[in-house]
Amino acid sequence: MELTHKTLANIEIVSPDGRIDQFSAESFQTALAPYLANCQKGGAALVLDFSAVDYISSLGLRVLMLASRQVKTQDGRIAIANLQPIVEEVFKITRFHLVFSIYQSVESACESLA
Amino acid sequence: MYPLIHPAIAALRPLFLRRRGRPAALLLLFFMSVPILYPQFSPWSSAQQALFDYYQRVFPREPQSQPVVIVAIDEDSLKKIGQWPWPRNRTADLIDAIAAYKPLAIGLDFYMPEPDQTSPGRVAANLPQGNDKLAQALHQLPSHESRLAQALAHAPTILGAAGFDYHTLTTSQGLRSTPVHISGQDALPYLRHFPYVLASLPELQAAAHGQALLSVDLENDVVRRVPLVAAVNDQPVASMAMEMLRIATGSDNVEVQVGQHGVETVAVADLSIPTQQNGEVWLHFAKGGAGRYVSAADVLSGKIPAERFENKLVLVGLTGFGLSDMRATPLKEHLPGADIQAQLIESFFDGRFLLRPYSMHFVELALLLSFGLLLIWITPTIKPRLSLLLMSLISLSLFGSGFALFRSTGMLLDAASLFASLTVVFASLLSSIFIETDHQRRQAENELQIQRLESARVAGELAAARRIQLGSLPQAATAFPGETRFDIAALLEPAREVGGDLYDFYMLDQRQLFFVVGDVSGKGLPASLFMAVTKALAKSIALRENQGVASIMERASFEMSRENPESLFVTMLAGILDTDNGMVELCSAGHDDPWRLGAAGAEKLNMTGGPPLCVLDDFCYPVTRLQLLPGEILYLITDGITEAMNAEGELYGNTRLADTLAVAGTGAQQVIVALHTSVITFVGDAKPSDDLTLLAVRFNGC
Repeated sequence: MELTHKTLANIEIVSPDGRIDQFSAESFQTALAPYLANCQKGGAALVLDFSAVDYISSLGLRVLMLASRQVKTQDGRIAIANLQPIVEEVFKITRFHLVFSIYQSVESACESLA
Repeated sequence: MYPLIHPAIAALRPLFLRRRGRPAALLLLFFMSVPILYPQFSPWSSAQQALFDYYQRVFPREPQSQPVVIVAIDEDSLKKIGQWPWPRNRTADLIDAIAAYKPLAIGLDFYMPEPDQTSPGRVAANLPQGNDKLAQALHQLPSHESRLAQALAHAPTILGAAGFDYHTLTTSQGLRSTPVHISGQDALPYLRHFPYVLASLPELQAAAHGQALLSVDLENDVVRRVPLVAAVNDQPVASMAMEMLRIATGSDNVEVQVGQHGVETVAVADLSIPTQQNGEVWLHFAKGGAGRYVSAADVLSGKIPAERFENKLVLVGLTGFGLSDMRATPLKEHLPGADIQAQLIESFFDGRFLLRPYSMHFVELALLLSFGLLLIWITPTIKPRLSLLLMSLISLSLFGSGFALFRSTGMLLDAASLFASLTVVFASLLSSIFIETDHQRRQAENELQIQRLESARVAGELAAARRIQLGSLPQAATAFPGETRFDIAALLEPAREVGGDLYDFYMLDQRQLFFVVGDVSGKGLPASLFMAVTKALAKSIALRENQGVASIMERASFEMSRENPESLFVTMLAGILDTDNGMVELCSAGHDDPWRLGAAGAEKLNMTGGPPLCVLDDFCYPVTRLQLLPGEILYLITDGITEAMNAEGELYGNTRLADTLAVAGTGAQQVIVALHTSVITFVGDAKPSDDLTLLAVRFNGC
């Protein structure tokens, strides 16, 4: 999976797209790895812009879970913004809002993390 | 693996398999080119003869001129004159009679090696005693031989002789013939060689104007080639046809031109005939015809008009039955020997020669190599049907040019040997293709078989795993015999052989019914193993230390996280029903909320819940409490229901779920069947994408 990204002042915004399911979860994980490695204490915060993500399966959630754990051990900061309704429903059912900070928009995420 | 074949053929197999059989075909092409240059080693000589004969049958020679008259000692002559051999004075009469017509030459197509027994002197010697006077009178008469010698001397006559490979009582080693003039190289190494010769009496040889060979070699009993010059005991001698032309033209010698590869031409006067290297010519036969013949009897009785012999060459030959020296020709006729010599002279006059010059071998070699290489290049790259068409076109063009060349120039192109040689190369290429295809087919079959065995093995193991997994699930119908306080029903249908969903239920004590559904992240075997661990662990914790549903979740999450190398997680919805009063404690770990079915209809609960197990360490799961009224059903599902997809890609979704539950009925088993039926009808022919799990608990009241 190709990730588009842009860097604001102290925030790295990464945008996956399409479905994150059993077929794409692994490539999503691989693509995300370098950004996670950089998400250190005192470094830039990482915002995952999910505006283009149509669906996420449990294997996609697993990648997010692992990302959350890694960032936590590195004392970095990570958040997810801009969930589409179907993805938001999945987050609601699985209570992943307890795992991640979730924001309505990238802007609000940036504001909060800045 | 392969059928039993001869080891020698099996040893050749790699040769044909390598590089699509091209090296093998090249090797064969090389072998096939040898007999083209060295015809004596050719395995195709019969085919070559048959083809050359066929050329002649299709296009027989049409005689343009008739330079030869054959005086036939035929049945009529034998009847009138008497049996053969005639007394030599009678033969002399015949020659005189012919000579009276002043022909250009007279060739005798028979031999007179023995003295005439009817000669007067011979008769005298055989008279009984007491006939001395008669004997004396007979001795005074000239012998028949001297009479014949006289006739021979007075006319332009040529005696025939026959070459022999062996000695007989009547053969000799020498022939008194006019020397043949050789120019260029030495002719002897190339000429047909006869150590012995059957010739006429020396007295006759001395009288005749020439002597010539009548011999022809037969191939499979057919005359095809006639020597114009052959060697008798190392002395070149002309054939009857050439010698007659020499006498007729008044030339001194028959001239033989010998080149690097053998005899090139045999000439007399200004007629030069190209020959094979051994001095032979291929005779282009015309039909044998009565037009060439006159009866000896008619000649003797003077019945033949003078113009019949005017400026003609005359051959005297035997045609009567029982005498005959008949020879088969390529036209499938049997002709007297004299006819063959006559045809030879005819073809000289018509300028019609069949030619197979030395250079023809190189033309044929070039054709073989170019067509052979073409086949080797193209055959492996196209379909066999097309290559057969190509081979047919090549064959057609070969035989077509063969006939065309024969007709237009008299050149003999050996299309038959080329065809046979190319067929060998082509067959080798086709065999290679066949062997390779066969090899690939067998290999594919073997691989398929291995795959089948492998998948059968995996399928067998998966089937066993499925039996174990499904067998580990409690059967609702038989789990609580005699239970009246509640009903429970459940169903689990994995999308593949094994799945990551689970359900379970058991009594924690006399009052408390524990029930749970769960869904492991991921699918297939890894998920099913994690599911089995989860289910067993949860049960063990629940039964050992019953401290409420949240505690069970938290303890299970903790235990599983300790040994979870793949970082899988599991969503779970568990509850404990107090079967005495209908109180339920529910706890959700990232799982879809359950439905409550009652008099008020179907209602989805709204639980607080927490993340799936193994996601967050030390999470304290909130508990949701509710009171079931008698007859109310608590309905637990996994996302396999809401996310079931049909062929159009639509999801089953919460709306359809609510609609189905609203009319699902009132029994636990009933609502399970209703929802399951609705979902599988919705999915139709589409491949199930996720496991389906349903669990319904109905509180019946006390």
